[in-house]
Amino acid sequence: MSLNKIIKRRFDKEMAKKSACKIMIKKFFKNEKIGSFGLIITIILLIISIFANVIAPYGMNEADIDNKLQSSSSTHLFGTDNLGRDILSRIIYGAQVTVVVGFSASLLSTVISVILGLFSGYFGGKFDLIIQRVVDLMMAFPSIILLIALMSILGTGVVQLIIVLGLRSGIVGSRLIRSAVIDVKENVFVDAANAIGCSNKRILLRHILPHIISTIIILFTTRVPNMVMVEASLSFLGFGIPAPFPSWGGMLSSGREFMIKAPFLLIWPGLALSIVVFGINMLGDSIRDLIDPRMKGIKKRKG
Amino acid sequence: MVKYIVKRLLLFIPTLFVMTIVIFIFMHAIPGDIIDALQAEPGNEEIDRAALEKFMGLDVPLIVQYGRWIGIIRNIDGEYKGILNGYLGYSWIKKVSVNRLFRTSWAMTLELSIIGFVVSIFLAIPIGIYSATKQGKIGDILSRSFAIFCISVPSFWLATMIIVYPAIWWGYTPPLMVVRFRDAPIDNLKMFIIPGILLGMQFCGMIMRITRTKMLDVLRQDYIRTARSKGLSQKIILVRHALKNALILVITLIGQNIPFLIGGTIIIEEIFSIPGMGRLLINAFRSRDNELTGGIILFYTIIVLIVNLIVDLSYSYINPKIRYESK
Repeated sequence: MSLNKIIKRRFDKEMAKKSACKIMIKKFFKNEKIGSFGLIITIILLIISIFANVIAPYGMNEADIDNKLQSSSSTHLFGTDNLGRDILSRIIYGAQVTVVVGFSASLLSTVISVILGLFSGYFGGKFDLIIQRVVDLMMAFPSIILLIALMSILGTGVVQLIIVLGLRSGIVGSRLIRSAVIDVKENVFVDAANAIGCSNKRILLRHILPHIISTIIILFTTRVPNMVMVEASLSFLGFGIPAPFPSWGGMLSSGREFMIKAPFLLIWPGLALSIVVFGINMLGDSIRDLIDPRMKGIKKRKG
Repeated sequence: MVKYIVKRLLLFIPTLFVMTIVIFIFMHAIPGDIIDALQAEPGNEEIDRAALEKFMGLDVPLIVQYGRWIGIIRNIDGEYKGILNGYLGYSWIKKVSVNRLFRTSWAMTLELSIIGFVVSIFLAIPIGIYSATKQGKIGDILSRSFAIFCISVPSFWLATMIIVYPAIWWGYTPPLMVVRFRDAPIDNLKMFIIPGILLGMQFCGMIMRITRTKMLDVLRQDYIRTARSKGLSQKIILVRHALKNALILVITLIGQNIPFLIGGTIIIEEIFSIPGMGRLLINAFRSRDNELTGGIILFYTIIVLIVNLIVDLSYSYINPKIRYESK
C-alpha cells in the first residue's frame, strides 16, 4: 500500500468522523420526506411547549365566565369552554403536559429497560429468572388496567403518572434489550475482553452498550407516541392529570358533557393529539429506518 | 404435542396463584376502603366503623382475608366461599355478589372484543400483505398511511366525534340502547358494530404494520429467491412460501397484542355507555368498591392468560418446527 493511499484513507476517516452527523441529517431530509414532516411537527410541539407562557394569549385557568361556551371568534380563536377559559391557551399549555409526560416517561422507561435488560441479559441466572417472571406477570394484565390500578394507588398527578408509565413500560421493554444483549454477548470480542481481565462494568459499558445503542434509540422513539396516547387515555378516564390542569385527554373528557351544545370543545384537543402522535410516529419510523437498514427492505441483507 | 399442552396447562396454576396475590395487594393498597365510600354517602355519616369492619370481616389479619377471598379459609358464615369455588366476592356498594354483576356484563365485553378483533384482522392482514408486495409503490404508501392514521387518531376522540356530528347534522345518533343478542340479533349487531370497529382501529393499524414488516422479512429470504428462480408464479410464491411463514410470526404478535385490545374495551364502553366489564371496573375504581375491582381484574387476567394459552397452542400447531420436535 502506497503512502498516498494510507494518507488518503486516514483523511477520509477523519472527514467521515467530522461529517457523519451532517451526512446523517442530510440523508434524513433527502430520503425521509414523511419523517422530515414528523420532525417539523415534533419541533413545533417542543417550541410551543417551551414557550407556552409567551405564546398562549390567556392563562391556563383564566376564566371569563361571561363568554362561556363561545365558538371561534377574534378574541378566542378556538372558542371558550364551560368556564369561559380560552381553548387555544389550554391546548398550548396542554402541549406542555404532553411533552413533559411523553418524553420523561419514555426516558424513564428506557433507562429502566436498559438497566434491567443489561443485567438480566449479561449475568443471567437467578436475577434474570426473577425479572423475566415479573415481566410475564406485567404482561398478563391489560396495560390500561394495570395503569389505572397503579394510578389509584399512587393518586393522580404528573409525577405519579410519569413514574407509573415509566415503570410499566420500562419493565416490559427490558425484554427487548435483554435479547439484544444476549445476541451481543455471543461475540468473540466479549470473550476477548473477558480474557484480558476487563471488569464486568467495563465490558457492559464499553463493549456491550455501544452495540445495542440502536435498539435503545428505537425503543425510545416507539415509546414516545405510545406514552402520549396512554397519558391522554388515562386523563380521559380521569386517572391521569387532575382536572383544573389542562391536558388534552382531560379536556376531551370534560368537553363531553357539552358535546351537543359546543362540539368545538372536542375537536381541537383531539386534533392536536392526533397530529402530535402522527408526527412523532412518523419521525420514529424514519429514525428506525435510518439506523436499522434491515427494516427498509429494498436494501440487500447484510453478510 | 400432548406433552407440551400438559406442560403449559400446569404452568397456568402457579401463574394464577401469583396473580391472585398481586391483585389482592392492589385491592388493599388503593387508599380508602369500602367503609370510607359508604360513609361518604349522604345519611351514612354516623356509621360505626368497628362494627361494620367486624360485620364485613375486615377486622382479621390480611392473610386471613386473603385466605377467605380465595376460599381456603372459612368466612364469617363458616363457609368456604371464594375464588376457588367460583365466587368472586361481594360488592358492598351495589349490594349484590360480583358473580351476579358479571352475569350480564361479560357477554357485552366479549362481543365487543370479538367484533373489534374480527374486523381488524380481516382488514389488517390482507392490506398488510398487499402493502408488502407493492413496496414503495402508491398502494404501499396509501396503506401505510392508513395504518399510521389508525394508530395516531385516538379512538376515544373519533368515537365522540361519531356520536356528536351525525347527531348535529342529521339528527342521527348511533343506537345506545342495550339490546341482548338473544332478543334481537340485528339490533344488537347494529349497536355493537360502530364501537367494535373503533375498538379494533388501533389494533388494526398495529397488526397491519406487523404483517407488512414480517412479510417483507420473509420475501427477502433465500428460499423465496430459490422459488422465484425455479420459475414459480408470483401467486404460488406468495401464498405457499411467503404467507405461510410470515403468518406464523404474525400470529404470535397478534396474540401478544390481544391484552391491548381487551384493555381498549374499557374506554369504548365508557363512551358508548355499554354496560360491560370495563364500565363496571371504572365505576368500581371510582367508588372504591375494592372487592368488585379485584374480581374484575382477576377476570380480565384469566381471559388474557387463556388467550395466551390458545395463541401458544395454535403457534405450536401451525409451526412445523415445534410440531415435529415435540412429537
